[in-house]
Amino acid sequence: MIRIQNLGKSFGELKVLEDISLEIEQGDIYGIIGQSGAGKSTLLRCINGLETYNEGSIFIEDKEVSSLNKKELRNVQKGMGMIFQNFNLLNRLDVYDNIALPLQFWGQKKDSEENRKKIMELLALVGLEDKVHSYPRQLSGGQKQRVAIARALVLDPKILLCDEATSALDPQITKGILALLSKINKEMNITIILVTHQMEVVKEICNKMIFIKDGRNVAMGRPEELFVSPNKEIQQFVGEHLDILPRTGINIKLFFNNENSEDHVITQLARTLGIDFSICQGKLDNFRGTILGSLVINIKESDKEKVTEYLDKINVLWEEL
Amino acid sequence: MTDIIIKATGQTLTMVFWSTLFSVIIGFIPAIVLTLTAPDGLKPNKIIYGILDFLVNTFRSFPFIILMVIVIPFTRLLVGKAIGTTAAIVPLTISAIPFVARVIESALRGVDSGLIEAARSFGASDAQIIFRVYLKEAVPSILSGITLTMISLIGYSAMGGAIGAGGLGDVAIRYGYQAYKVNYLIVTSIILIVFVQIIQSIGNLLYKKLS
Repeated sequence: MIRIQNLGKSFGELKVLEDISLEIEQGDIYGIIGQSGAGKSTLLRCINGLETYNEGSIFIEDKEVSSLNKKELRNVQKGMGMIFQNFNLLNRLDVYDNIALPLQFWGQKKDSEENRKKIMELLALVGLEDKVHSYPRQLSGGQKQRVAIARALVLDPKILLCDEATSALDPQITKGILALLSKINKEMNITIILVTHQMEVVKEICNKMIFIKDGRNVAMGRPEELFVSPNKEIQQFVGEHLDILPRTGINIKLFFNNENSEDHVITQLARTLGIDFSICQGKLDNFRGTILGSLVINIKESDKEKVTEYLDKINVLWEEL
Repeated sequence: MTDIIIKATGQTLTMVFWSTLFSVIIGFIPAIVLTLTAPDGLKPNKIIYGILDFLVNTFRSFPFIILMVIVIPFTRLLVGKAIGTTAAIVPLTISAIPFVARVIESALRGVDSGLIEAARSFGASDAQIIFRVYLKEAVPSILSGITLTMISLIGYSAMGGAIGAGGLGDVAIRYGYQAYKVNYLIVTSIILIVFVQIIQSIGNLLYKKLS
């Protein structure tokens, strides 16, 4: 549905994006993650033509974005809703008029029966039916983002772009917004592209992700793979430090997937083999309801063969650190 | 005295009302062009912005009393005479246009750039962004800018006496200052103070109501 090939962009001398390639399919919730200033928001804006790019190409269903004329670009933009970190609602319009605004940009009457029905349905979807005539200043941050989501959906887009949509919200509200996005993805079959610096967001709802650092792709794939066995860059990003592990003996990292994470692998390992070891590091993560995690144990050099054999036998992935 | 004051009040109101109205209407155009062509605008254009910016600054730096004299031929062309209340509206309007342009420009540029970006993301055209986003959101600040314009026009209109426009300021100067009639000075001053207070209060009220 969206194919990005060798995308590059620079502001003068400064390269903000370099050789980015990725593919987003219909129905994906695609996460673009990275630190502030990594170029992720710029990447998102290239997709809907708010930013131009110097190298490479972006195909939206076989249309190359940079080759479109003004009218064609407007049509592509119509097919993509967008929400923002600061909500970007008009303060002088009430909730209804804010949601109706994109319709008016497309020459439609905000009060036609059809549009009235549509806007009320969207308000019901985001759970704000009682706020139709409230003004943005009367709403909380989470409610404002819900209005912005309704506005982004009013032109019946196929794609929803989210630019740090939860970064200004507290964790509880963030969860609510993510649940709503998930629902929109499933029930309305809208592809979501989500830019964030919050790992939890990616873990919670994304099925694919790209990790961008200094404008470059440093890791790409399924979040559960990338976070359970992270490369150096991601380890740095999430603040995992290997240097705190013991220097004697052997450190083995075990990966847990959905099947074995709830079994008692560790205690069984100790009991079955009759050995002692220490647990040095561990974490469990919830990826869209799938529990995955990793655990680092420190064993004696002499136990290595026994332990690895056992782990292979019970199908637990491991690596020596 | 009452007759003189009433007549002068009428002249001041006439001058301020019409010159505010015309300067706001005309000043809107450079304000929008400045907003569009500014480096962070929708259509950045260094040359147009530079020229217009220079013109606005130049016209703003003219002392009003000089401007009034310079534009006499133009005034005559427009209203058929160079003296009187009607004639004074022309230089007053001309002097207020650059002021209005700046005030509206800063009101428009005060609109959150995120709103412009959001509008663009929904495929809004430039004209739609100007009318449905910029102007819509900036209404309260534009109104307080107009309030400011009116109040400074009240001040300028006092100089209208130099070309026979009359008005409260003229009465204050001729009767109060030059003829030492303190009561004229006091009455005209009080009326002017009341005017300014009323205009400012209405402006503040509207700002609160609309924002």
